[in-house]
Amino acid sequence: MINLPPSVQKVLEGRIDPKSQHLLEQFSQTFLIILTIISFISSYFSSSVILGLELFLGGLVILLLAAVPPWPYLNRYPRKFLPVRKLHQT
Amino acid sequence: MYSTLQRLNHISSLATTYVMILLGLISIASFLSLPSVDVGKVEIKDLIVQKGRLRRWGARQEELASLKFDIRTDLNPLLNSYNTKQLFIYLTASYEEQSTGHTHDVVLWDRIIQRAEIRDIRAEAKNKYQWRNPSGTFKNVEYANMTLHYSLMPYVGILSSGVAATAQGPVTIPELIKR
Repeated sequence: MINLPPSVQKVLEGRIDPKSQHLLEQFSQTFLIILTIISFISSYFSSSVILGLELFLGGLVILLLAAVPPWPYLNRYPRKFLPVRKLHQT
Repeated sequence: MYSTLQRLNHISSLATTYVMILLGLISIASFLSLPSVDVGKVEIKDLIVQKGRLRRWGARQEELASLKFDIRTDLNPLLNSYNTKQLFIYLTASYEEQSTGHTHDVVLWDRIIQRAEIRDIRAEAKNKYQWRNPSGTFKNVEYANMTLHYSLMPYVGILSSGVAATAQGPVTIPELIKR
């Protein structure tokens, strides 16, 4: 990863701001709980196990697309770093 | 959640946990909602007892019973059920030997039916496995009860079993055919 150009490194590392990190954590938990409930109910009432598993997989792919790559909307409040200071010479 | 790989790791571990919960819910729901089966009929024809040998090395001459039978039962509600992958049906004969008082249970025929082969099960077959008595002769056995059991194998969950068809009454075992 060190030998790649910095722009590619930045995308692969994919930093997002801390507020988005908290939001993503909560959102992915609730999303997966609701997805489990929906896929179980739909598989029970359509009497097909495969349908429930396919629904779960579809929802999981949507969540991964929305959460994993470092989109701009996840980086709205970037962390502010202090400017570089020189240590005083002894 | 600070880097791409970490988000991928976290979300996929959450997802695998929830998939296990989903499969657990499916197995519990299908176990609690198994349909009941109408018990069908087994007709036994051509039951004969004759002298023969088992198909293995060092087998002695002894009395073997062989039969043909006809099964009429509707297993579609079981096969179509929520979580069924396949059914394993087997025909057993259970009888008591008068001289020793032991009860014997032998499997005569079995078959696997997959979910895709949905139709009325009407098999006319003969016994797959040879029916012998441990004491070598059938003269102390008067009659036997034939039942067709099934064993339901789900996609995910617990095995369950039951009775699918019975013969209409005990079947008398005939005398040895002397050649």
